[in-house]
Amino acid sequence: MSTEQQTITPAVENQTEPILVAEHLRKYFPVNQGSPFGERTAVHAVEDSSLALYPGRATAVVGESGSGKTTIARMLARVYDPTAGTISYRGEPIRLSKSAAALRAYRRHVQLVFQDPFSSLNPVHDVRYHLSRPLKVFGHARGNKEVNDQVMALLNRVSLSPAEQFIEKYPHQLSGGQRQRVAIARALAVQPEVLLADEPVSMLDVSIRLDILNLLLRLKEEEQLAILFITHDIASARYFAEDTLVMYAGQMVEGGPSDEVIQAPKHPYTQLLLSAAPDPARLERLGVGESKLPARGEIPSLIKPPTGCRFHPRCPHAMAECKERFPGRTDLGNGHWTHCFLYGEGVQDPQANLITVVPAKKKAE
Amino acid sequence: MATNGTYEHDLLLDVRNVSVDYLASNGAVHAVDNVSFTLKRGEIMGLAGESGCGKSTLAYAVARLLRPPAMTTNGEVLYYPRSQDLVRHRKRHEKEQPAGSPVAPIDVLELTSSELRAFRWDELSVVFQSAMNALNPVMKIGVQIMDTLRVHRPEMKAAERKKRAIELLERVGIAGDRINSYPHELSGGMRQRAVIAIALALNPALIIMDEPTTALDVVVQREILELISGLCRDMGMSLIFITHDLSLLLELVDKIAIMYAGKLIETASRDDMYTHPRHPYSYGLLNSFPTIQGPRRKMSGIPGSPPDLRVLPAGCPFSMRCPMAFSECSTVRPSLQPSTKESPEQLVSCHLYNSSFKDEPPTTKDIAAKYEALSERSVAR
Repeated sequence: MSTEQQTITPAVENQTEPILVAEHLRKYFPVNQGSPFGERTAVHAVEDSSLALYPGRATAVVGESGSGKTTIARMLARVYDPTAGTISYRGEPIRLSKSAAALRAYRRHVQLVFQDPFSSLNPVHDVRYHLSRPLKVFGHARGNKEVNDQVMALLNRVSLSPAEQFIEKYPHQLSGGQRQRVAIARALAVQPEVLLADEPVSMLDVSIRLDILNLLLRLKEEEQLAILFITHDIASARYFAEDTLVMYAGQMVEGGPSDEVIQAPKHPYTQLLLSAAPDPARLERLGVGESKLPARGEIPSLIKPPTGCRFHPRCPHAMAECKERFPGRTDLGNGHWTHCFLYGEGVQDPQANLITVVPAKKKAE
Repeated sequence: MATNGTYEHDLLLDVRNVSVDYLASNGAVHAVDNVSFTLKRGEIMGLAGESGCGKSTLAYAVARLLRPPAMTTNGEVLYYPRSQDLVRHRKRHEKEQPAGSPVAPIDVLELTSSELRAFRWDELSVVFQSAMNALNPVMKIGVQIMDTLRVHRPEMKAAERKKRAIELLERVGIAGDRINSYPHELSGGMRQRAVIAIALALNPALIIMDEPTTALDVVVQREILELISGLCRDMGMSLIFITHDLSLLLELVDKIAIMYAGKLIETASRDDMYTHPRHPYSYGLLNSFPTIQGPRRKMSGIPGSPPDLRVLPAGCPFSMRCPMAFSECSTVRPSLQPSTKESPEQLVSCHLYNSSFKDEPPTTKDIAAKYEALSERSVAR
């Protein structure tokens, strides 16, 4: 590791320990076929995915719908239990216990912000109720005055001012951007260290998206939050996150520092995503109508996914090998890696096939 | 994409002073206020703006699709039909037209319901936002295409209709044997293609598309955009493309119209709009999405939120959010006029370009500097 590399990605290399680490996560959703004798099938939503979240640093997961990016966020939020793999919080593997106390203890540290602020707030409760519940449940405030003060402080932190005006409002009286701010404030009320943001801006108008992104950026810096930012918009991933991971059909295909991944994409799928993203600057280079997609089609069915690299049916560079096995991880330097036979031997990761099921009871200390 | 040479100066649609109100119990909402624009044959126009700016309402008014409480209160929509199709709805105008003269326009807002039925699909068709809802879930897509043909081309035989339906599906990139598929058997992108195929069924001269790619993934969205621009180029169709995402428009259209609070605030060719947006709001919209290329810099977006359409301010509706507003902006309402001598085609509704208020119009750099200053003190929304 040269000194130059260390200055580019200090947090990964030497600055801090990760808060939340997911290793070799898999998630299969069984498909109920109605017949007890029928073949057991499952949706292979996420395969062997690993990521780490660091304080004051954002990691973006980019992919199309059906790529498994939301499933990863939900596993990290303990909404779903992973089929295999481990999640560690501050170095300690967490128990997959579904007891209310265990979940609450975990969610004291890790909070989720949903995509749709129109359905994630309860229409019959006002802003005060939405924000005071987590304060009371997690014991951060006692007594009406303390709760009130903290709710006001929260509203100010998400730039909903004057706070006195917003505290009495119901969700239908707020605009989409304001609702998303309330949803973010609700997550912050718990005083988490990790924020999992599942497409926090894709339901909002283009002109409001930047405001919410800037708010999250400010919170990340001021409060040293570790943020997982899930998006299908590769441009906002570059704007927002230090690291970017690209997913296709449940497999992580490329990752590394955002600028590396987006300016010098290596995996054919990342290149496809980038060529499909709207980019007015392309007009200057190419002229109108000259951009052409290198590949077409959509994400395959994940009940019987393609063997090997799942991108091979669409890949313009597919080789015979791609059908047989999923390529191992190739490090490209600067923390940039990809899973593609085009960039190296692709030695099978010895741990890729290792399914480490963690039963809830055995892991109990 | 590029305008078809043979149609270069051929006017297709001339919208004049159209206003639409939504009648509500607590006052009329002026959703579209005195909007005028023109569209040539083969031209692709993008209509952009934030949600609630009236862009869909305007397009629906042009297509006569508005239902109460929406009311078109003023204006005319002049449509210049293709000569070969005149017979259908030009009977009323035959007297006034001397032989050999250019085709007289029809006012879409004045059409009777039977004339309107002939006008729709034959001359104009609409593609709605959500393909899931636009298709009938219990009808095969082939039947839905043939349905349109059966009503509008009663002389066509069943076998011909089927042939045409297969041809249309193949035109939009769906295999002809999917004619017997139900909508749920198709993916989101295929459904949107099927909807476009129906819109093309009678070869209309104008298609209105209302956010046709919003519910789709980026890769599929790009495919649909390529399809649309290819179709327009090959068939010489005109297109009005409605979206809130300017970054999409820039790659597709010839001309962009930007709406704010029910008013058209700027119209310009794509290149003019991209290189030098004149209205501060246009500049803000163009700079509210992060880019893939270039340096990563802090961006600010547009502060504030759109005004209440029931109680619009006396002056420019954008004046409260505008970083360049001066005193006249809040009292005098601006109107659409040529922006500068260098670009007379670029119309803008802003006092900054009015010589009676400002001696020297601002450059794009000036607007950028004002927005930059704004981003330093973060404003709540």
